[in-house]
Amino acid sequence: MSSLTFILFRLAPGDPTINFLSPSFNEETRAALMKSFGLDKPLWEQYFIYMGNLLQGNLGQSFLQGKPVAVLLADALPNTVLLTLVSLTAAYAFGIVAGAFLAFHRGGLVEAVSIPAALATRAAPEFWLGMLLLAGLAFQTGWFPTGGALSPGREMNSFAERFMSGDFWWHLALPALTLMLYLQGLPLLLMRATMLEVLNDEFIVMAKMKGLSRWSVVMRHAARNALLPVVTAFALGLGASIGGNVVVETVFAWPGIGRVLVTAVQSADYPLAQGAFILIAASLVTMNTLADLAYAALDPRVSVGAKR
Amino acid sequence: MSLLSVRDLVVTYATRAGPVRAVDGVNLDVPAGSITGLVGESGCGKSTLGRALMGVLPDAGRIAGGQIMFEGTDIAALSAPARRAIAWRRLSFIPQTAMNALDPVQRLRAQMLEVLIERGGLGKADALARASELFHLVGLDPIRLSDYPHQFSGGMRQRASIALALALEPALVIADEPVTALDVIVQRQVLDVMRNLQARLGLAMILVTHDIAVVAYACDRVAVMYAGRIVESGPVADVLENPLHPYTMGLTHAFPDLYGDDMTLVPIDGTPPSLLHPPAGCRFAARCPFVQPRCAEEPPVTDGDHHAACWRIDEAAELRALAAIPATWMPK
Repeated sequence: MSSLTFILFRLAPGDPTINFLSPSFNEETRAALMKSFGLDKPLWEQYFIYMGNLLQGNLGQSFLQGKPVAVLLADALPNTVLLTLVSLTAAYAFGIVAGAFLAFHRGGLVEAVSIPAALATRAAPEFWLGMLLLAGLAFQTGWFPTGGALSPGREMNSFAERFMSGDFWWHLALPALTLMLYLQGLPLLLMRATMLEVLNDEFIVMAKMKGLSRWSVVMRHAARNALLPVVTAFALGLGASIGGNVVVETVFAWPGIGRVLVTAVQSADYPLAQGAFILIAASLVTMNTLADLAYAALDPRVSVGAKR
Repeated sequence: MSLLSVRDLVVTYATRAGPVRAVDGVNLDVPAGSITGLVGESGCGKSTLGRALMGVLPDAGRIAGGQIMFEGTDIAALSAPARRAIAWRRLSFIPQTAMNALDPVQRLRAQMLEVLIERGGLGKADALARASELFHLVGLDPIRLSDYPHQFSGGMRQRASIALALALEPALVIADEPVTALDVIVQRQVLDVMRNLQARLGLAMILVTHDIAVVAYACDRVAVMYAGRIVESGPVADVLENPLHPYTMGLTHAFPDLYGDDMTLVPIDGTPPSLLHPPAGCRFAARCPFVQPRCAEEPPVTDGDHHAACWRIDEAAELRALAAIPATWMPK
């Protein structure tokens, strides 16, 4: 993974020094810059230095901002995690409830309206949804800010203070809403499909035969079984969203990993871009693992290792 | 007076082509304290009849006519809450495939307690004691209450299903192909458990099966179902030894003899009629080797404990002799 990102960025066109140099700078200045970045060394040597540093947990220095990549990523990560958590949780809470509801009201007018609606928001490009919301709720009415994570001029001393402030959440609302609208289709359709499947299972018929209350049948037996694949999708979605927020973060100028990645790629800031990619990959792998573990906890038929 | 008395019951399934009459005018009496076998080939409506009795037909199915008199009330006409009030407490069910019939993500204990507490009104301590007692009753170690269904073998799952069915001491248990998925050794063990408990608890049971051998082994009475109707019923010995209806005669020759006598198995040629447009008159006529012109009209049902719906009941003895010859059943 890290080798791949290393090669990919080196292959991509673009000169990391372009951003520093005005056309008036001469060739010596450029060479000096290249040397200070270590870009004058042969590619294989660069690679070994990079991998060596990586093994020691050192992601390197950003070319453009001159700060350690780790610091830049650590600044951006909480923003992305919060955006992802809020929107994904909202999307799944909504999707699970709506999906279960739709499974029960199959074939009605509600279904005829809501399934295409869910599909449409799922299929609509995020940036388009985001732009519509921006146009309607920010520019037209002024109810929400148009971008960023804090109002201009506001400085927060600590993370805690920052995330407790109403200003931050006010800024979070629109990007989170966009992302939620985009994400809710999957859990909704998944929940509906598995619920419909589970409702036809013999143990549901048995639960009805037993004269159990509708609540017991639906919550204790149907929903519990139908939730299994949705939980997996949630954990995978969490991993994917950390990297997949690029579009929403760009539209709303949200200072998260996605935006760090975009600016780094645009300015050929290799270390930063590579660091961002590795972080995204790591969170995907972590979430995949967590999904597997969660599945084992929820479904007794799946167990970890030889434990019984 | 029978515990259960089904009269002219009609169950239809809505399909694109029109209503399918899966159960079409069934009359059935189940005396208290006995096992009645309900036997027939696939698609004859026997499972649908069982579900209709339990009040859990699939969405497309509905009771289109007739009565289900159980303990003096027509349970087909009850409101949903009133029907739910007697569900499992007075009549319960042993399913065909115990794998899916038990919730895969809940321990057996939780599934037993659910019934005992929510439906039986027991306190938690009493319910736990009762769950252990029930497991003991069906020959399972109460320790296994903390297992999940997938940790059980097929026979154990079937025993657990029996324990669940008996939890609230119902008057009637409907068992839908309870041993079909098991191998013959385990079949016999499970049938023995069911028969012993039925006798000990004095409950009535309907055993739905396609296997004449199971009926012969476990049942007191039998009703033979064909194409949505009951064509013959009576005490097991009478019906299997001296069948009155040609279909029953054919069935008894299509299964190996229980006592291992050497005999040729003779299939009944043809397939049952479509229940979308069932023929007038006797439904077996098209496959019956003894068919006569008058079979195009509805045959009369004889009176008595052992009865059948056939025009040629008076000649039953001669027909039985003919039916014992394999050539009789050869396609013409």
